[in-house]
Amino acid sequence: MKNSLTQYTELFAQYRQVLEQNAAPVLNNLRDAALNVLNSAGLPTAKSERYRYCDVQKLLEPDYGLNIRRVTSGRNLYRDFRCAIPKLEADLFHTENDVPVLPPDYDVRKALASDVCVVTLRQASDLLPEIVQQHLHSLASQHNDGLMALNTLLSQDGWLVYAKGGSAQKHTVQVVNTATGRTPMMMNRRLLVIAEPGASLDLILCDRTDGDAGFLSTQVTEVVIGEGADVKVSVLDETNQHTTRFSNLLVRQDVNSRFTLNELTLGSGQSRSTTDVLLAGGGAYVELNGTVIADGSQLADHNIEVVHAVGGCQSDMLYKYVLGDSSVGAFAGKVLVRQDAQQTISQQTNANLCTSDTARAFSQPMLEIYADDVKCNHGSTVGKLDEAALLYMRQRGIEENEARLLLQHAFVNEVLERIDLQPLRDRLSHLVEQKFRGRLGKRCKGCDFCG
Amino acid sequence: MLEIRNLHAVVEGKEILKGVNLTIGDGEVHVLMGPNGSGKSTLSHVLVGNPRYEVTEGSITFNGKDILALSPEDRSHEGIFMSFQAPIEIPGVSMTNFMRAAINAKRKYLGLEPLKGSEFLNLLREKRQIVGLDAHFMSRGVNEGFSGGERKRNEIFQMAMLEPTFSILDETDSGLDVDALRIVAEGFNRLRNEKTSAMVITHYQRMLDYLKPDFVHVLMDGQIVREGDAQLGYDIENRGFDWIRETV
Repeated sequence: MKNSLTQYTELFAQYRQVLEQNAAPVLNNLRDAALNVLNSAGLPTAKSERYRYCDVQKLLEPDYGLNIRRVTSGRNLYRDFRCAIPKLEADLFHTENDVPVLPPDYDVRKALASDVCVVTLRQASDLLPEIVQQHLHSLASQHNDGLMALNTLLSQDGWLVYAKGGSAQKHTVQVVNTATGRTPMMMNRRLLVIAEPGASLDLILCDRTDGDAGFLSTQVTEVVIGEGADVKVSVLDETNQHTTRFSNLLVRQDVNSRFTLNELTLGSGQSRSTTDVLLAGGGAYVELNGTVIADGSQLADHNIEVVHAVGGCQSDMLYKYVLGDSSVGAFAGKVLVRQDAQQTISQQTNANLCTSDTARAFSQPMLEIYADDVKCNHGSTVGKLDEAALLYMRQRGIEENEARLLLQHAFVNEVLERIDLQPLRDRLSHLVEQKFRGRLGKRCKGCDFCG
Repeated sequence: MLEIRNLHAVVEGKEILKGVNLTIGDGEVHVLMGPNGSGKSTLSHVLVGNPRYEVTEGSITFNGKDILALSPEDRSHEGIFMSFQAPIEIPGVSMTNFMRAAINAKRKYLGLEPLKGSEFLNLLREKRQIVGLDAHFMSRGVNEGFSGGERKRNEIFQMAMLEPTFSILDETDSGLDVDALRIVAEGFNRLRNEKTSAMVITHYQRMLDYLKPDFVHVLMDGQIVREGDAQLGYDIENRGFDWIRETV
């Protein structure tokens, strides 16, 4: 019987030629090294410190199909997709499963000349070879991680979002990843974000599913931020409950740069998000925010590591979970302050609200400090809804369910309020409310797109 | 309006109320006094339906309805309001959203349409003025960052918004300076009419001065042991509770 890993490595060995013929050439150069990592380290197990709450091997056991010939449904996502964020002005791009689909009539030459250039990795291999070769896998290669290696072994294409410096105007790019199809599929997505010195970028990544099939996605996103650049990434997961989602986000920040992450996990049956940030230039600032609303038997596992490699940087982490039914939330956040990283300021908070007796929260904030002139603190709480607040609201006539909803929403509002893009904040707040009301995934009026 | 008969209640296995009898008519203000731990707040919480308190015997009827069968929210809709002794802070729920949810829940119960945005904001403005609560409090979380006095004023503001027919003021005067007490008491008095009644728990004569209650009751060890007019309150202020305890 094939195990979780060999079913993919054997498939790779058998179909390597077809896979590579249909892939961005720049990705093909990475596969041998990925195979070596998988052969030596294998997939993570529960014994790996960073994977204590997520059984990767078990989640990879099902026999998912791979779309190595890059067949697409032919559906016009740009026409059919109507759930865009109201009032948001953004350049919209769609990924069907793991195939990046450019907008109809997309002018690549014009894109290359604009302040923020979005092209597929396949196009980037031809059009921006030096840039993509310099940066693609530059962060992932620093980690001996089996999951990322599996993605690197099998991924065939992805997006390059390239923000150039020198433009004062902020650009917003939205990438909607839709998993679609009637049979269980594995998709391996890749995203490279480069912000040149002084560039400014808002990137919104939405993961969704079309239909009820079970999907597995691995996604590796590398974000390279130059001096003084400002990058905000917002990630929305509203995939169906049969989805297993592995996400690796790797960030490297140069001098005086800013990076903000806002993650909202509403969907996925099983989700694992790993975020690694390297503060490599003095004066860099990173803010990592996360909200999880889980119910049923969902698992939402966030594992974060911020490395203060140099002095004078700041990091701020705020993750809040609302866990209902038999859901499980796991948070492990580590801040590593290296010996030379004097005058580091770091704040880390994880708060969990369990709304049922069977929900479980695991919280593991960690500080590892080798410098002596630092200001670091962390905190973690796990609790239930405040019965006194509930009574207060009910005494004013607010129905119990509505009062619970308001209190739960209030609990996560602190995180949502950190999103400074108003239309996005409003949209995410709306989705949070829909999730609390059990209406997430219900079709919007006039739209037959999502399930 | 309110009939409490032989009311027994326990909290965490301990009997606190041991046969309370009390009748409150339309337009009447009753003051409830008693030493600490005598059951005054327990009675308040039982009246509003706090699920921590279990009624083991007796009845409460409000305008002819058995309110023990009603949820806390339905008791509120029926016209019962409590100004909490320690109003809770609810960060993240703005006062405006909180009051909108409360007002529209009541309107739904009464079969009315939700208030339009402008109507609601006008109502908010009008009622704020009764207790001099500044507009900026409305965008804050419920009681978030409010001082003790502001919290108590906020309670009376909410009372003004919801227009209850029966109000419980559980030590609304405690912790207030003289000016804040005046504002709160005058605000309460402005909301009184011949159809509204109140049960006021207090330890202080100054509250009696402002409210001029119709009746004063003394609760001791879970029972009402003495009843009288406002003079009884002043006697307690002067002599304490021991002289009553000796006669029980």
